Amino acid sequence: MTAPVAPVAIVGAALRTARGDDPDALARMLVGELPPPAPFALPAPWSAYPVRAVAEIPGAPARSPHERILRRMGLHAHQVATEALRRSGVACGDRLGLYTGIGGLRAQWQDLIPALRDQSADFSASWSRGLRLLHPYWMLQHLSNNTHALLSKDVSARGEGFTFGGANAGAQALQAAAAAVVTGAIDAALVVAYDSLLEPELLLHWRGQGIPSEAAAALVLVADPAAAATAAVADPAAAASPAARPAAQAWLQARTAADAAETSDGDAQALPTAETVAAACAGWERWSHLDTAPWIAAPPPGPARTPHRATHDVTAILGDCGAATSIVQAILWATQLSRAASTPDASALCLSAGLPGLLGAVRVSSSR
Amino acid sequence: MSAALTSSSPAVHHAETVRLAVAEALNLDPATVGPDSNLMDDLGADSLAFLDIVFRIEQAFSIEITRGEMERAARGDMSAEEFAPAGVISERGLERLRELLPEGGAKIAPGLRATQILSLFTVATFVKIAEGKLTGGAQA
Repeated sequence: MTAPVAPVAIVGAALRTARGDDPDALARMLVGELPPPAPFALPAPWSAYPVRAVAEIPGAPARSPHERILRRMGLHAHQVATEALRRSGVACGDRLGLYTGIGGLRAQWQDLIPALRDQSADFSASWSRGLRLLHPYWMLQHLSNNTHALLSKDVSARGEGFTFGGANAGAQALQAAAAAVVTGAIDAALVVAYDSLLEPELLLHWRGQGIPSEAAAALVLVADPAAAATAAVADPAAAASPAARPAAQAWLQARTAADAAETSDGDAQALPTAETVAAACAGWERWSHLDTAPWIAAPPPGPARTPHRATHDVTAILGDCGAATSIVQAILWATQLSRAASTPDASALCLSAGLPGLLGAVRVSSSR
Repeated sequence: MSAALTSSSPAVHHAETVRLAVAEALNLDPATVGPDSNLMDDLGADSLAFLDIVFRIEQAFSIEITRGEMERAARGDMSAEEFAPAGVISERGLERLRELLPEGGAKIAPGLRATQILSLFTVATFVKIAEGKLTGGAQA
């Protein structure tokens, strides 16, 4: 865990979820103003696995020249990031950083099974028995930084940036991006994360907590919304919408933690402990809304008897979005808090967890 | 393509399969891809895209197109040294190219380098390579 940094402003966002891509409608579902349209079902491809329902993003990503390199979720991520940046009006160039989070390693069985199912025990004639079915770009298509590399070029994000991987990657990307913005390493950060839990190796061992899902989500962070649109642009031709002046939807802080106790005793299935949650949220005792999945059993910090406290769960309406959860939470709460302007100083403490013992904590507030 | 061919003939089917494979690989509307389309100049293919095109054609016809076969599509049975000494295609090599890859047109000119041969390829070039493999002919 790193030292807490000052809040940064959210000035642009976009997402793809199993319940659609409209943050306003999703925020209303989150706070119970709109009912989710229908229960999630279990499509045929996953019927052999011990899950009762899965939540997949409806529809394919828009056609793109990047299809030869990026797979479905990478394309979704590229597209939400581009949308978020366009909506923000933030200038591209040397002072725009890109922070990407991608869920854990996947075996890519959809490609591997056809290539492996007819192999012999001694792997003789392996090429003709199936390896020839692997696309020549196969390794290239599954590099974890593909989306980052193509996106940074396409939107001209030439400031510092990182790609994070693993169950907590979205929260890590948020934390690093916010720190870079606050310290002045960059003027603005484009943060995008994507993950799909609809993978055989996950569904076979699903813990029965929530519904496995997927999401791609992106937001744009700046330290000072008023100054962001006039930031120096090294390449004016690459600027997104220099005439637009971004307005803060909400303010954000992010922290991450890894529960060392869980890894030392070899329990890779453990969730963060109460102590880890409390440590990650230290100093954030004031919040009006709590967004946490029920399987994060640790008690949250804060005034338990605050009159307007309300508990919500983004995973209850969208399923478990894995490494993208923190960014989805941030987007929905920024939308909700900016919409509910009648509640000044409202804030949401959002917790997400990944295995083993990983915690993402995001605080979204309506004012700095 | 011969006017005598019917729409159901294997040759027409092969040509259409290759055309669709090229369109798919390059993420193009198939209507914009014709047999005479130059892959690089007209369709925007880069060298990486050629790998994708070959892969799709291999899968579609259950064939394997090796690098050597791609080279033979351009230089026939000439040796590499005879065809392009020091990387620049010789006069005899150019003659062979005009014979085997007439779709290259005016691009087949003195100074052409062996590394530039892919720029001569059209959709029809891949149709010839595929048909050569399927019929066991000398082309491929």
